[in-house]
Amino acid sequence: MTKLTKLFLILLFGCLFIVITACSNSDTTIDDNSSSEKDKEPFGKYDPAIDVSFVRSIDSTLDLALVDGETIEDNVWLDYYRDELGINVTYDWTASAGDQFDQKMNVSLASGDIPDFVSVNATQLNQLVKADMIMELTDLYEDYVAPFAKEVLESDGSGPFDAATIDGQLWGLPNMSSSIDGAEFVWVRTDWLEKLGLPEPKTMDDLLAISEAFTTQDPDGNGKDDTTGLAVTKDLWDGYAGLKGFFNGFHAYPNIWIKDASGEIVYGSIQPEVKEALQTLQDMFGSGQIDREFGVKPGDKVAEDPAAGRNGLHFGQQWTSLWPLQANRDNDPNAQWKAYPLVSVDDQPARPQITLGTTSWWVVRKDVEHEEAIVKMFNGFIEKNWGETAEFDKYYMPDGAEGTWKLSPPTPSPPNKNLDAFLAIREAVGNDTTDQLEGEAKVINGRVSAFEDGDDSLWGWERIYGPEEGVFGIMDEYVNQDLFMRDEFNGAPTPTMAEKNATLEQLQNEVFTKIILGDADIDEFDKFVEDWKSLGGEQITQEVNEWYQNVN
Amino acid sequence: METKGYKYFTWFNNVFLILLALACLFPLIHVLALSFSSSSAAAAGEVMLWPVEFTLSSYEYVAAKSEFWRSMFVSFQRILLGGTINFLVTILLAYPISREPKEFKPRTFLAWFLFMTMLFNGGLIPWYIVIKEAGLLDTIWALVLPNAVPVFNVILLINFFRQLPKELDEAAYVDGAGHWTILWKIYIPLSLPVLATVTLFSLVMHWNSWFDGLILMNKPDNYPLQSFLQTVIIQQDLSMITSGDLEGLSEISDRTLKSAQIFLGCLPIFLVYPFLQRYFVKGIVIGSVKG
Repeated sequence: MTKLTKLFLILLFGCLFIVITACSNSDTTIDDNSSSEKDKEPFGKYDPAIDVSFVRSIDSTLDLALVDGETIEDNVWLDYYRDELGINVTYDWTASAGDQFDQKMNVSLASGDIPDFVSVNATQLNQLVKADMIMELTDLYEDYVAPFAKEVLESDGSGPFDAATIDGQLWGLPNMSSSIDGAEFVWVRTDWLEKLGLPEPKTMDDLLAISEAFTTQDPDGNGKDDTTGLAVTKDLWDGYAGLKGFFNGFHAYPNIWIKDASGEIVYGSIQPEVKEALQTLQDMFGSGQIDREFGVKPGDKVAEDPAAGRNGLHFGQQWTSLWPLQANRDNDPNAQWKAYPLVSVDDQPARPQITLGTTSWWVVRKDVEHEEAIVKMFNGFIEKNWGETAEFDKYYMPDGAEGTWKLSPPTPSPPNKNLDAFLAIREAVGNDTTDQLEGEAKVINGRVSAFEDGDDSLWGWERIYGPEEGVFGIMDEYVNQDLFMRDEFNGAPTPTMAEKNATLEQLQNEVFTKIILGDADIDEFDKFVEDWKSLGGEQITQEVNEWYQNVN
Repeated sequence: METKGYKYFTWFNNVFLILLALACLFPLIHVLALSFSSSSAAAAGEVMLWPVEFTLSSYEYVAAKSEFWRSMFVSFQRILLGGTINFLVTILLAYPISREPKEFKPRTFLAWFLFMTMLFNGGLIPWYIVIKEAGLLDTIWALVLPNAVPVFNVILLINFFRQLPKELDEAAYVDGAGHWTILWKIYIPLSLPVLATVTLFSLVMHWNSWFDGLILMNKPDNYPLQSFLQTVIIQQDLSMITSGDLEGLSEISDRTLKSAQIFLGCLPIFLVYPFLQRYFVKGIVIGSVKG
């Protein structure tokens, strides 16, 4: 079936190209001077109401978002847009999030059949601009954005806007999402640490010692040699049991573009520090600390190990206590995990790498009559969730529902909202004013307290937001010390990147996996660096540097 | 007299085929075992061929899940409509094309025309645009009309018709039968085995397709079962999870639920086989022509 899907995709992209080039001939430039007559009020209501079309992705968590007979087409958010802003939201089609939505979206884009407003990724945005199907938004954004919405949208640096800027013009509004939430931590099973009398991990050496002890000293005490040291997935860079955090400990930053000493932008995966990290991983695999079969195990398969109490150490993002560690706690109420900051191999602190959290942008079809409606919806969404007139209990998470905010088509959110919720909880617990908490912090604090009152099924939440040991306490340290290593490249894929990157990534992952497995000598890394450069990497580096010069 | 070598051959052959059959059965039994296990046992990878911590909770959940039954209903609708259309079109196309060119002039052209569609197609986007412009999107007809002519089945049937003894329809013709009578009274009753085969092909095709449902239906309410199942079992990409998905994370590990739905999704098509089995009878025309 996957073969068939691939075939379809190949056909699809072939056709996409043809159709897009064909469409670009039908030039429908409408010189719209009527915008001067329009109000320019960030929250101005349309009277009579206007109809705007969207498409949307749905998933099973949306069922939790709906209350009292609401539907995707009729709910509190669409009521708000209709009653307060005079915007009737209609959906051309809906499809399940993920693969299905992407496929349907690609067919829609290729056949030129797009709704008024649509959220796309950087690649699609680029294609739509080339096909002359969407509208330029620079002035529109400045004219209509509300002050608070502007503050939120621009609070994650210029990255979210850079990615949607082509030739100095803005083509899409960033559907803001957190960048820092992608940072990694060391997750360790602390009841095992205590049992084996090991110190908490402060340096890479500590971590390696823990990994070895968890492998050889039978931490689960069942008398069988069935535990592994470090959990790793076949995809190497997953948010659970990936290796980014491990590499960061060696000051290596795979998969992202970093600034070198001379100010040039270079690719993190080919720097010498990577070799050191790979060497260490190879040694760990050699001594049985990494699962023999990790090369074929996807995340949900690897997750069986901690769940069954066979693994107690991985690198992961802030959410891994909810999944998969909660399953471990469910099976074994004595299991306890804790997140630690990334450890470093020397006296320099380890810097967690992060990429741009914003991965989709809202674009406007060329012949739309009320193009500013999307900016008004952005304003409304941000205001009603986090602004001064916010009604959290109505729009974000009403009683008995979860994730109600997802019912709005655009969902730009403040990039540090989770961290802010944690800080609010910690402060309130310190001052004993938890009854004054509002919004998301209140709901989360409710879960943390419920855990403290004995509801073990909410253990995962306490590990993330608990004022004492919650992982966001470390995130706060990351932020305060400005440790993040950000991806310097935020643009749409450059021409060579679009063409070669998939191959190069595959090459990289294969070589890295082989080295870790010991099937290839560590010196294979030097050959990989050469191959990477000659197979298009050199060209990509040049293009990325040109892009960097242009935006900065 | 069986030689020793022949005996060994039969023995090995049987063992090999039994192993092969087991290899095919294994995933199915595993899924069945998973669907009856508790979700924590499934998450810890303890389930192989026998349920661990037996529970019916997955089936209870699925029984209450209206999306599952709605898509099942769409699939049945599709099979009924699509299967009938395929059946009629196959027979009505195969009969004229199986005649000699002197009897039916455009025969060669038609045969080639059909054959070409097996080799070339317009590609995904034109296919989508044609169906969209025909106004079929989001209706059951989008799932049955584009597949109305199963060319491979038609070719099978043509070849079967052509090897039926010519004398039979000559005799019928002499007795005053027209083409309709010959087709319905002689050809079809004699072709039950091959008709059962092509019907099975077209039913399985309709039951199993998911991609067209996905692309052509604008609302998940209208998905056939396999498109729906695809949304259920596709694995979430763990590198793409954002903080907004936290609530969804608990859903990832519900492997027992997925298994229950997969198993129920296979069940109807399993049940079709035994019913068609009785038509697979050989040698029906032996002895119909004497001298």
